[in-house]
Amino acid sequence: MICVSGLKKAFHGQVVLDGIDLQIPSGEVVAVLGSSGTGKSVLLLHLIGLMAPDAGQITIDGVEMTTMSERALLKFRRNIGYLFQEGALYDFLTVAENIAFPLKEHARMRPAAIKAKVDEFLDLIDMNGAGEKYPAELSGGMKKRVALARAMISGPKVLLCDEPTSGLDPIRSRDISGLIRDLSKKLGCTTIMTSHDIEHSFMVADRLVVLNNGRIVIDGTKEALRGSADPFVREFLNS
Amino acid sequence: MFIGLKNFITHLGRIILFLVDMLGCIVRGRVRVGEVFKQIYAQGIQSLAIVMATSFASGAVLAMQSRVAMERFGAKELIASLVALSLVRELSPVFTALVFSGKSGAGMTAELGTMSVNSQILATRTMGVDPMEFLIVPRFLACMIVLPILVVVSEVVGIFGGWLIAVTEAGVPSSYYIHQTLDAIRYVDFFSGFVKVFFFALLIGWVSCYKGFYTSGGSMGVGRFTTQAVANCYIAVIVSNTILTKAILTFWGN
Ligand SMILES: Nc1ncnc2c1ncn2[C@@H]1O[C@H](COP(=O)(O)OP(=O)(O)OP(=O)(O)O)[C@@H](O)[C@H]1O
Ligand SMILES: [Mg+2]
Repeated sequence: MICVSGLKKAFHGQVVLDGIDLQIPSGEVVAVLGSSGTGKSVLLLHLIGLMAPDAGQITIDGVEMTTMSERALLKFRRNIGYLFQEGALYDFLTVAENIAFPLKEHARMRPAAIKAKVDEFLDLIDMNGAGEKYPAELSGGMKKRVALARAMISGPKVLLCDEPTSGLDPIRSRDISGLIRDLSKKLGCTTIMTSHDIEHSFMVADRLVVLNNGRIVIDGTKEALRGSADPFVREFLNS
Repeated sequence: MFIGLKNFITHLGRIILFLVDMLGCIVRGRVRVGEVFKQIYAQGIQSLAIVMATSFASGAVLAMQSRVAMERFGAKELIASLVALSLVRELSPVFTALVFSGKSGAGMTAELGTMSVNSQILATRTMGVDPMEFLIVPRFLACMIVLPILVVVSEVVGIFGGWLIAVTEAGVPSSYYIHQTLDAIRYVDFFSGFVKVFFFALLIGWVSCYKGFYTSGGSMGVGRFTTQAVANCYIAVIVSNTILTKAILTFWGN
C-alpha cells in the first residue's frame, strides 16, 4: 500500500506538485498521465526518495519515507524497482551482469542460482542469447527491456516506471507495456508508471491518474476517464 | 559580487563535503577491493606508456643540458648526480602527475560524467547501492596507488635516459654513472618526492572524481567538465608543488 498525502514541491518558486493525495493498494497497476512538464517524473522521484518534498508524507507499507536518511533510504530502496526513461544500464557491464547486479549486491545467493535467475529473466524479456552483449550494442527497446528485468529481478514490492514507452515505435511500445503488466501481475508488485501515451496506459493500467497544474484532476478507471466532463481531461483524451 | 561570493562558498562546501564523504567511506571500510584492482589496472594501463616515454625523454634532455652546464664548469662527472636528483626530487613527481591528470584523470572524469548524464549514478542509488562506495572510492584509491608506482617507473626510466646520453655522448663510464647515481640519492630525496606524490594523487583523484560525479548537461557537459577537471588538476599540481617544495625545504632541510 502506497500512501501519498499533501505532497508539495516547488523549484525556485515554480510550483510543480501542489498537494498530491493518492492511495494505491498493493498489486495495483496505476498510470500517471499528464502533458509534458507537469511533474510526473518529479512525483516518481519522490516515491523513491531521490527528491525530498517541501511538504507532505509518503508511506510505503506504513513506513514513512520522507524523513529517512540517505543511508536508510539505500536499504529501503531494495524493495523498489525503478525503470529510468533512458534505461540507465551500466555501460561497463554486459546485459547479464546488469540484470544480475541487484542480486549480487543484496541477495545471499550462490553464483549458479543467480545465473539461473538471470537466464529466467532473459527468457521473460525475450532476449535469450543476448546476455553477453554490452548495452551499447542494443536498440532502445532492448535496453528498456533489460532495464525492466534489472528493476524486477529482486522481486520488488513496488515498481516505478518513468515513460516506459517513450521513444519506441508502436509495436515495441505494445511489447514493453504488455511486459510491464505481465511481470507486475506475475510478481504481484504495485506498479506506478508515467506516460503521455493514453492508449498504452489504458491497456496496462487498472487505474489512471491525470495530473494538471500540480494537482490530480481525475483518478479512476478508463471508463471514468472517458466519461469525465473535466475540460482538461477531454482535451487530453482527444489530443 | 555578493551572489558570486555566496555561490563560491556553497561550491567550496560541496567540494569539501565530497572529500569528507569519500574519506568517511574509506575509514568505515566500505571499500570494494575487486573494483579497486580493476581501476588500478585500467588507470595503470592508460598512463604507463606515455609516462615512460616522457620520462625517458626528460632524463635524456636533462643529461644533454647538464652536460653543457657541467662541462662549462669543468665538472662533467656530476652529470649523473644532477640528473638523478632533479628527477627524484622534482621532475618525475611533477611530470608524472601532469601526464596522469591528462590521461587517467581525464578518463575518470569522462567515465563518471557519462554515467552521471545517463542517470547511471542515480540508478545506482535506486538499486540501494551507494555510488560513492561503488563508483568513486575505487577510482580514488586506485589513483592513490597507481600514481606512486608510475613515479617510481618514471624515475627509473628517466635515469636510464640520462645514462644513455651520458655514456654514449659525454663519454662517462657506465659503472661510474650508476655508482654516482646511487651515491647521490639519499632517502630524504626519495621521500620528499613521495610526500609530493601523495598530495598530487589526492588532489587529482579528488578533482577528477568530483567533476565527473557532478557532470551535467549531456555530452557537451561531459566534454566541458572533463577539460575543466584536467585544467584544475594542472593548477592544483603546480600550485601545491610550489607550496610543498617550500615546506619540505623548510622543515626537512636539504
Ligand atoms: N531538478 C530540478 N530542478 C529544477 N526544476 C526541475 C527539476 N526537475 C524538474 N523540474 C521542473 O519540474 C517540472 C516538471 O518536470 P517533470 O520532469 O516532472 O515533467 P514530466 O511531467 O515528467 O514531463 P515529461 O513528460 O516531459 O517527462 C518541469 O517544469 C521542470 O522544469
Ligand atoms: Mg518525465
